[in-house]
Amino acid sequence: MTSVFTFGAGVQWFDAYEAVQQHNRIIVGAASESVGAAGGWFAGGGHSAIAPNYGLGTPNPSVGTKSYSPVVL
Amino acid sequence: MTADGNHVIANPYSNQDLFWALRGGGGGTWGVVTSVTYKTHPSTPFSSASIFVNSTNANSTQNLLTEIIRLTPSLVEQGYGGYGGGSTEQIQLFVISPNVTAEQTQATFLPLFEFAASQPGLSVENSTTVYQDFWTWYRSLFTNSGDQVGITAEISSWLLPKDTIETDKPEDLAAELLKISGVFGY
Repeated sequence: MTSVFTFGAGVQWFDAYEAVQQHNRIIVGAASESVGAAGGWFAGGGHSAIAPNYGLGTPNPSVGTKSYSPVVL
Repeated sequence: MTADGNHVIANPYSNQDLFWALRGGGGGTWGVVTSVTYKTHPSTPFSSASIFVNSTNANSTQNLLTEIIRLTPSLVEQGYGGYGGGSTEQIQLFVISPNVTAEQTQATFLPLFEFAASQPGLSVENSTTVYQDFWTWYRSLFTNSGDQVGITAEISSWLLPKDTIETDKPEDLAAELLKISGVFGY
């Protein structure tokens, strides 16, 4: 099973990171806390401090399987 | 939401061309993204290193930036990523990696810290720390303060291939970055 998170437009990275950590997961995301987690960040390439290990934001939206349990924030 | 008013799903199975274009194609270019589903990864500790420098000596600033650039390919190979930048008066760099121990981080950065301390006109603060998870590191740097966000600036960006740094002289790249008026990011 792949653990994924679905963020609606308007969710900001500070809140996204906190929600993901509550599930003991990490996510490739932006630096500044008020950047939107759904939208321009990954559309601009998706740089992240953890990109050298997990890839840029651009490949991370790809949900490669249909057997997942999304958590909607 | 596409320009024709349709709310569609873009993923590897449907609207593949839109999905491909959205990932790096620029904000708002292909429609309005109303939600995104992201892959996540298991939580893990992160080792961090940071250096903050105020400078009254432009040569020392350039020398330090040269050393940071020279170190960058090996940092990326060790899994470090993060943020840095500055100007002739100030340099900062803060990075994290999930794959290294505290001892390894100290060993990797000690030469850089010692170099900074050896340069005239630099006031240096540096540290290495292990954080129990990404969120703990993130909260140490960022707050959800609700302060004004955004600044008036012209921005541009380049991805620098490893070969470019290794083949070209790091000191030349440092000199070019420091010619940028205002503040550069690295």
